[in-house]
Amino acid sequence: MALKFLQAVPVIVIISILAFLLLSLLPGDPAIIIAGEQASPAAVEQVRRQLGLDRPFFEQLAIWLFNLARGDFGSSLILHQSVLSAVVERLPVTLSLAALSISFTIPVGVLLGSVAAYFRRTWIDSLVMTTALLGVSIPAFWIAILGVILFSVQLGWVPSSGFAPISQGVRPWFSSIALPALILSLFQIGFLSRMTRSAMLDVLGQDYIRTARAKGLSEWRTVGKHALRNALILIITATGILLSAAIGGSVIIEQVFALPGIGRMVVQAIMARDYPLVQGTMLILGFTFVMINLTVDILYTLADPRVRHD
Amino acid sequence: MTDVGLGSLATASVIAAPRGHGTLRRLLRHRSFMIGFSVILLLTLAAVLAPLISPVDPSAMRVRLRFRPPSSQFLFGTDMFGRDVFTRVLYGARVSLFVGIAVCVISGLCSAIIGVIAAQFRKLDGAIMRLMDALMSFPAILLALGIAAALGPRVSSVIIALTVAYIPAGVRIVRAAALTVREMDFVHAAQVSGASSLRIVTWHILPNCLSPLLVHLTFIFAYAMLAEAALSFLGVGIQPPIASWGNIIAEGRDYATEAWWVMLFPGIAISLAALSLNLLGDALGDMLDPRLKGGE
Amino acid sequence: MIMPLLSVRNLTVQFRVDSGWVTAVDDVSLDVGEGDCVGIVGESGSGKSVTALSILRLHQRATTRIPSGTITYQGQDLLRERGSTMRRIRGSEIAMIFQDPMSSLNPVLTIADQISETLRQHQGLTGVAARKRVVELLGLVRIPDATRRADDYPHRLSGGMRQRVMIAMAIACKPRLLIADEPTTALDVTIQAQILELLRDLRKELKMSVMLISHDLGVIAEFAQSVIVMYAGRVVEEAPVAQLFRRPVHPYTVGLIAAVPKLDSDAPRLATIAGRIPGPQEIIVGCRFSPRCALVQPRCRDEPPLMQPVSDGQSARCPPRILVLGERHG
Repeated sequence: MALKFLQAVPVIVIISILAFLLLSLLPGDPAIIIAGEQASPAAVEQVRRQLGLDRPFFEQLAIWLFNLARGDFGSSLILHQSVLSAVVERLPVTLSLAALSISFTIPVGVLLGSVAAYFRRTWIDSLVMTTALLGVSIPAFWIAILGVILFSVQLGWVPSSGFAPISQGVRPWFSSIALPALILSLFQIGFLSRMTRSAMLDVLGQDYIRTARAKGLSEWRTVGKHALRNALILIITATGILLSAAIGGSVIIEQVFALPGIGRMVVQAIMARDYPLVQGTMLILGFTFVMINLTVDILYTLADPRVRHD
Repeated sequence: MTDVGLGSLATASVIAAPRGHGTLRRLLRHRSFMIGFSVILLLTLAAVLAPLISPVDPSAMRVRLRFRPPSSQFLFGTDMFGRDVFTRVLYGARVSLFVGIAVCVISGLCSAIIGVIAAQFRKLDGAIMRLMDALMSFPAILLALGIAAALGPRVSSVIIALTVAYIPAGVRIVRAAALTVREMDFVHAAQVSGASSLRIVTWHILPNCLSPLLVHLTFIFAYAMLAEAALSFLGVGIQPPIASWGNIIAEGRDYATEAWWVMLFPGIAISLAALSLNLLGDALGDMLDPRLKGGE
Repeated sequence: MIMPLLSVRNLTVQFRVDSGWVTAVDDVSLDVGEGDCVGIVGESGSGKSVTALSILRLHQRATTRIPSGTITYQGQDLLRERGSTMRRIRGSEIAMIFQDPMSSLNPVLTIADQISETLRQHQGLTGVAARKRVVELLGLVRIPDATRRADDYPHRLSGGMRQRVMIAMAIACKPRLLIADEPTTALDVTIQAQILELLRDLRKELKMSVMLISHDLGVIAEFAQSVIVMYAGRVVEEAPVAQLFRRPVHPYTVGLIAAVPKLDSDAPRLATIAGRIPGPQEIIVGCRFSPRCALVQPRCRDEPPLMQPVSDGQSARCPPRILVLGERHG
């Protein structure tokens, strides 16, 4: 297990370097781009010095890495606050969205996939799989807009935009988050149920399932205990991917529903050319995913005894 | 970081990969394959033949013809600038499908090369996989967003951005398959008979990695199209007046209640394209390892 | 006459393929008596495993059908019983072990967990009592260091030990019939002998009947008391074991026994049976073995032969041969 932590370190370093390089990707002079085309040469020079862009490349990289080690992810030009605080401010929104959608996705996805696998080649299977297929094929932003039109504008069940923090009460919070989370989970449920079905089909075809039946175990116990425990391994892997997709998807969903989350902040920062903010946020997200992947790996070793001690 | 899921898929596909004429016949009889393939073929043809199908200029603005609902003259109606939505959707198909195919091909090639290198040269393997893990630590959309934003809003940026975002997954699959194939007896036989490393890689290992990669690329095509639409919708992808399914929806959003047709048809188009590609991918995966879809 | 423990009559099993249904088991009948040890021998594709799976109805429901036949156990026709009855019988009265012990054990559950499942299901044993019985059973199948081994996962055990665990699971509730489908095929030869010996001893101790299925004549010769030979979905001969080897009647049996290499033989080439087993989709009118039979006659190709008795305890599905033998003995 210590090995896994060790393996994560170089990944984190590489991510940091990649994020740093993001600015270098910009064609042209980053200082001019940040200051704006219209800015006077003096203003450009000021920006250059402010961001330390006049120092040699490796010195910049060193400063960057050093700052990261201190927990300084940079400062936003537009928001006039540190990147870290900007992200933390918006964390509740994105977290609510991701958490709610995943807590809905996992039980539904696993259930649908298992049912489809158990009743494979019947109408149940076809129905579930067609639904899943639609889930992964329909663009989220499009269905989100349609959803807003239907549920907010026409039916008035939920607000069409804005986020109500839990401090204002659970009902308002839930109302503001429900539809976005639902839309977000559509793709995820489609993905998870397909993966689960494939994993369960694999497992249900194994000899030990036949042994379980030969022992006289009920179908419930056979599938529930023997099959699922084995499919769990693949499902855990899928969940890691799901979390990644959830955060990625929230970028779009937050835009459509005007939720002040991290995703929306990134898009706005890109539009406003607030590159330090973009850089810092991407980095924080990158670190987060390394942590998530690490956790998934550890959970995986816990779930599969074959990987454990050997 | 956990390769098991992908690895077992790769292994199964490598072992079960069918060859030859029987494959073609089986493909033709497979319902999902035929439906998926036909639809995407139709869409591609429509895109390629766009000027013939609708000789109207997609960017031509005729203010007097604003907000016309779908009719026999304007199949999908007109938008807020009086442009013919049907033509725009057709031309949008060109952009979206082009981006999809480009991302597919380029990331496929890169994945294949990098993946095989990683599998063959243990010393480079560690470094390559750490880099891939780092890239995969970002959700593809965010990575693409960042790169596209840095490079500017145009077709090439979107293609580069999405390619970079999707290469790591492909590398994992190729590498897993290559590692499996390497251990197989026919590779040992080739080595023993004196074949050079290069020949072994190109003749023996690579072809056997293609099956799982091909299935994966079909899904990448779908993801790339959906991602391009999302990026264009957000404003960091393809900008109007060049029509992309994503930016048509973005433009139509503000007039959703008055001119619902502007938003509806491109969305249906994207869904149809993605659906057919997913069906195609499923069918190909089914061919390679029938167990996955419950063939028996 | 005493009622046999298990009686299979006219069992026909069919599989679904793209073009329709194929027959894997064709009108098979056999008996297993109390305390008997029956061996079913045949090559891959002869339908022996399918027959065994049908007894406990463990076949794939979606792609298999049983258009005719009865399997009588304790006066009930197992093919027509409800699911709940079958579940009660499986594991407690009729148990089964399979060929590959690695894939037949659940890799993510401990040995103790898997064995105690049977105990909980049929005997309601849990907790300490179950644990005690598990260790007892592991000792019975001669697994050393049973207390520690019980908490191991299957992948930590060798092939032979895993098969012992399978046997322990199977005998946990003292079944009256144990069906062993190729139990030694995946094991080394020396381990094979140990497992067979274990089965033999358990049979005596627990007074249970055993139905052993194998393609290995040596295993059958060593273990079975009576033998049933299957070919292409049909029973072609049955006899007490010694008689079968001393005087095989059906040409297929003759060829099978002749094909076993003998250490003291001077023959320059190994004996084989020409031709190959017909696939389940091939329709052969008449005797299924006729395309390969050295003694084939016109009537063999025209009408399917019936089983006929040869002497007491022995029958074969080859009228011409029986006729010849009968004439010889006058």
